[in-house]
Amino acid sequence: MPPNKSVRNGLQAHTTVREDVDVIVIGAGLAGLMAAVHAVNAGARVRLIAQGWGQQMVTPGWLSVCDRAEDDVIAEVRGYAALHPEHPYGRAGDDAMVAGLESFRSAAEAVGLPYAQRKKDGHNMRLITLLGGVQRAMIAPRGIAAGDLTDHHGPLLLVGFAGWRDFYAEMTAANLRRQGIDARALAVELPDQDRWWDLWPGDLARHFDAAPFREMIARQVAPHVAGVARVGFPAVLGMAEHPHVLDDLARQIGRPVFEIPTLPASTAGVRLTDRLRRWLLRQGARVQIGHPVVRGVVEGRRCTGVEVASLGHPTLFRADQFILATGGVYNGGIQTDESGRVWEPLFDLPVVTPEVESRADWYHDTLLIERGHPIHRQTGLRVSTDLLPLDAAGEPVLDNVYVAGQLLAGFNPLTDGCAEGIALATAYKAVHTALELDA
Amino acid sequence: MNETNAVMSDHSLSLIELTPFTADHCIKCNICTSACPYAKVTPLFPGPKVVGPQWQRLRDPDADSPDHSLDYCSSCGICTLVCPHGVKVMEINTQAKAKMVETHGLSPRNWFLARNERWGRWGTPFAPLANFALRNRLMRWAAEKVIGVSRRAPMPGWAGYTFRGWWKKQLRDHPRPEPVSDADRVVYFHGCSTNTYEPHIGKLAIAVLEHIGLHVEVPEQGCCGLPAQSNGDFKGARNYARHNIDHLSDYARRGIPIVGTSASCMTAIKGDYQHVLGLEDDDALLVASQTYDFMEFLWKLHQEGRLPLDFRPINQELPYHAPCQLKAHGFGRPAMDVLSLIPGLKLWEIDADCCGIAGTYGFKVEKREISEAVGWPIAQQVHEAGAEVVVCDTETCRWQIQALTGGKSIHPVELLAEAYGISVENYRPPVQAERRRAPAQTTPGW
Repeated sequence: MPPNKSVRNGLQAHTTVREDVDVIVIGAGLAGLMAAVHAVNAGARVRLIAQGWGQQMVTPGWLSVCDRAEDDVIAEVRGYAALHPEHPYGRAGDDAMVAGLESFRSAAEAVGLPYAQRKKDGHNMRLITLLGGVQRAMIAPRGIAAGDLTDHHGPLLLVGFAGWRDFYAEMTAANLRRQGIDARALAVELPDQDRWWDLWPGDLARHFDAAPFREMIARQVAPHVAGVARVGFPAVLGMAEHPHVLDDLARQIGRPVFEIPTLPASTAGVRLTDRLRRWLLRQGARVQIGHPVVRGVVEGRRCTGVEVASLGHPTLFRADQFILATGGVYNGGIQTDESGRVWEPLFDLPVVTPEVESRADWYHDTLLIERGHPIHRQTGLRVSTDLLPLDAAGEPVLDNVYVAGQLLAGFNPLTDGCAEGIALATAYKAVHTALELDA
Repeated sequence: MNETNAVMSDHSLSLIELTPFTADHCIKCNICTSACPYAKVTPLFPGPKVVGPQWQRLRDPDADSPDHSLDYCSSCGICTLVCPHGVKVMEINTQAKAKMVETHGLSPRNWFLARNERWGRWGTPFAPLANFALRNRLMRWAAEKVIGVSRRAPMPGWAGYTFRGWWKKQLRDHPRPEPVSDADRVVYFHGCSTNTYEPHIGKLAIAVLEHIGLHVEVPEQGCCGLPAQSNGDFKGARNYARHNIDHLSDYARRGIPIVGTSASCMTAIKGDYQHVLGLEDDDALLVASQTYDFMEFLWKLHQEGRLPLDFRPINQELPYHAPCQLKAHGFGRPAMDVLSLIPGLKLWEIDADCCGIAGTYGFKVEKREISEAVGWPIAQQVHEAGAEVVVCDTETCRWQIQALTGGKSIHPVELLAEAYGISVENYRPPVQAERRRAPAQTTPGW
């Protein structure tokens, strides 16, 4: 092979520097994933970058929009947003909230994971926790929603697995009975295999994907369903085949079945994340999990790129628009240290911090205090109604970096019962503003 | 302080960032377990959380690991990637494996796999015979029984000549003029596979680099050390690493980029030398900072406006597999980004964390079934799409993908060279470009 005829005398510049995608989304929680989905749906070239998967991987799987609402949830949020313009719902606007919820449901449906809500009255559902508590949430994966206690009539049968340490059906049932809910428990046997006790819920879920395993379980449950209205399992009813597993098991047992969220990793979160990832990849989006963005590159008030801590040397990724969905104090989006410093690590954006004397006052003496601790309640980024980060004077600091999810100031993601609703509303609003789409 | 824990003597990182101590960031959320492609398919591996940070608390730096199921960890590193808390799970496991090898010794089979570089060179003069043996079912059966290399494992064939030998002859027959400045120089790291099994990858890489206008140097180099490292042979791996660092550091010091076509070799040089093998000296870090995966380098050139765009169209839609060790780079998917510049060519990424071969893991008889189960989602998606060619940056993955899909798997440089209209002897491009050139694109199409 002689050297190619066209060998050039050294490198030459052929064109000017170019951007590589339209939108970079930073963060792979619910807000980040949905921002990527919205942007892809709008026809944008998208790069999603995150250090690890986000919070949906460890939360129960239902979506809190406004847990305290006693009746119509959307009406409650609309009223609240009108009165509290500084709250993220107020910032994003209630229309974005409604559109965000709706487009989440259709995205989940499109990847084969239907979510359900109370269509007839728009109320919160009353859903069973692992310990047998009752939790309100507006939207849930179909399997979990099937356990809604609101119109509960007739006894529940909760099925656990003998020796498995992640779910104790009798304990859950006993706690439900204490609240006046008729629930009984059944422990079924798993076939001989080492270390059943050590499986995480996803392992069991994959066993449920296989028809013979389901039949073996159904055979043990069926004799105990006389007089039972519904049968609850820990959330292990299938992984890849989940929707089919739900229906098939119900058919075999002869009763409706539902799921109760288990310990992390959350099977509901894994199912959703896996499917959204596959969908994003198939649409040509880049999904880059593992190496965090360490720095935003800013010229004036415009971000031109973000630097990722890749092996050997940092890598710069360029885009026109950026969605910052890195999460709050517990997610890495906001950093704190022992001296009481609080900062946003990528752009050094102005952070609202607790109005207290010292770091010691970040926390109350009581752990489970109703409105939460100041550090959770009062920390975050203040944004414009376009979700652009603001300085103390209320002026936008950046013109093409939009903030979504728990990074936002004005609410307490741990106690307010609206974290997922805010993630969905602000992800929708951020992308629609960034890409100048009609709502 | 012993061999394995030399890592702890590092000076540039705070204690909590050292690989063994990142275990303290673990909150047991199980996200890594949920993502581990190996724990998904075998009960023999209890998952990265258990084997990594959990057992790490019980590992005495001077004693054998109390847990031996980590032998079923492939070191694919997906756990490290998905961890939101910065636990270096794979790195912890690999160091623990080395401790096991230090205590119990390396099995003859693993020693054999860790020295692949030697078999490549030694087999070259006997290529016809060696290739016959590889294709012979009786020989494969015997190899499985005697040394434990699975008869179903995909084996490359010897090319019968080495890339290095070919390059030497090239320089003799067609001497390249010295470049004006070091800015036009690039070092090519070919890796063992290109040297003895797939020299065409190296020929195409050189042709593309020269087409871009770069002067290519191929200095002395050895195995990257990754096969030894993933078999727990840190001593062997460090020897290889040292050899490479010593021969590459001068170039790095002059700011000359070191570019390689095997994404996994480049992972070793850029990351594992430091984070797994604990080589933290200035030369090691300097070499890491100047090292690029081939497609990463081309994308960088493109971003600087220095990549020629005189492509012929390739009207195809092809699946792309990002190897686990490529994901470990953290540089995104430069192969997809660069190839998307070729008019008509559409790529989509297969949703799969790992193909199951993980370097040498899938060659081991007791792990072959696991390896095939891990890679199965690739075959499924490729078949569903009706694709016949899969693009992939790492050789062992390509062999595995070919075995799983029954189709062809090619390196991105093969498409790039074809689009540039570059041909090399004894090589027929599996995907054809149009004969006419398209006008140069001004924006990258996806």
